[in-house]
Amino acid sequence: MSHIFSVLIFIGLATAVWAEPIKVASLSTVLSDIARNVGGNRVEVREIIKPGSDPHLYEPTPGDIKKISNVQIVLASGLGFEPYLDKLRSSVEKSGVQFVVAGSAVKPIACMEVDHHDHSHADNATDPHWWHSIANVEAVTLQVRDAFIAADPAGRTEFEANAKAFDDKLKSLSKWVRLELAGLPKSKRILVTSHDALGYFAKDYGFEILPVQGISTADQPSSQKVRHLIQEIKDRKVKAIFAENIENPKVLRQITIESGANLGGTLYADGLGSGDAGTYLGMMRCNVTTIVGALQ
Amino acid sequence: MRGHPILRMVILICFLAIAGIPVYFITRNRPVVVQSSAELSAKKNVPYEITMTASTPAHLALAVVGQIPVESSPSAESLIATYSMDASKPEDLVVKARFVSPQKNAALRIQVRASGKMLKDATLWGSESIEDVISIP
Repeated sequence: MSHIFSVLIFIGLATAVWAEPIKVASLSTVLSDIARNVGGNRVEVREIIKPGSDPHLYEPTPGDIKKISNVQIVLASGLGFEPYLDKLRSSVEKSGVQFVVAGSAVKPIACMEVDHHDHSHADNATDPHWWHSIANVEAVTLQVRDAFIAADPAGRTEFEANAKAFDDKLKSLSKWVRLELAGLPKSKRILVTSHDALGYFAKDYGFEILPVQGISTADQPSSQKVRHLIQEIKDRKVKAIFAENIENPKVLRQITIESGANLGGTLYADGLGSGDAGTYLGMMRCNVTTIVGALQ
Repeated sequence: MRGHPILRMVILICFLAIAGIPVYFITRNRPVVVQSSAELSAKKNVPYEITMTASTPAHLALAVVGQIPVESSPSAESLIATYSMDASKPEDLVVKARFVSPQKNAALRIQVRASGKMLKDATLWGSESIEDVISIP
């Protein structure tokens, strides 16, 4: 009798181990990282947007649509970050793909300027860069966990444990960020960035953002706007300005030369990078270290 | 009035010069008295009284950027410090407690008062030690 039980337990375990993983397509590098952390071995993440690539320039190719049609869950940022999302949804809806849109789980904030860069959030004027608030990432972690449980109820215990472990890491990260930033006086918390992607970060930690409109896109900032910005940097004694996905380093160089501010380094604004910034936790640490080091 | 033309020109120049003096003093660019940020902030500075209370004796420490940190030596159940900070943007407080006898639910209470008003009353929990940041609204 005990042999039969052993065989049944073995078969049960083997089924669990070799169960087909949930196929997930991710339209965001941050969501890919969350999915890997929560899903573990029970999830296979297909990164449609790769780390280091520019999500603004992305348009789904026929090959991507085919890939997405073969998954169970699509993870998207929402809030207008993917202007093609509705079209994509209607293209693949017949295949029964479930869309998990992070924007519905977070507390959105308004954009500083409506038409400041090439995201299509002009209509609702919502900042789509939700991941720069750790609290939002905690909320999205729970949303992803619930979506995975719905798709694979047998993995509930594993998904819950993984989500809890990741949430603990996010809480440690949150404390680390607060301790690091406590050494930066409030008067120095001014971020001059190529576009105002760090609105959530600014809101959480009391920063003011002065975006260099157009510097990261084909739309160039007007010379009057650049002059005004240079004057503001001088008046407020801003020590450093930050680059990200710069398309026109000439304008940025002009601003640093004329304002006397230094180039503070590169911030990961639109998603994960490579190396240390290849994970969400690493990316946040890189950004905070760069900001504190340059502005202190 | 029919003087020499050169003399008339000299008189005219003198007249214009004399008339121009008050115009110059009225319209010249005067140096603007600019208050330094330190002076400006000094005007808005108010004293913040911070009280740290531990559930059991602990080595308590309090730090604010740009100010001298304070700590209890060697250990105490409370620590009171006053920092003068800009009322519009008070700095964050870094609070630390290392408990002499570690226990499961050791607590550290932080109260911040300014002008007789309680601005913050927070309790942090830990076992061996607590380190966190308190933001003042």
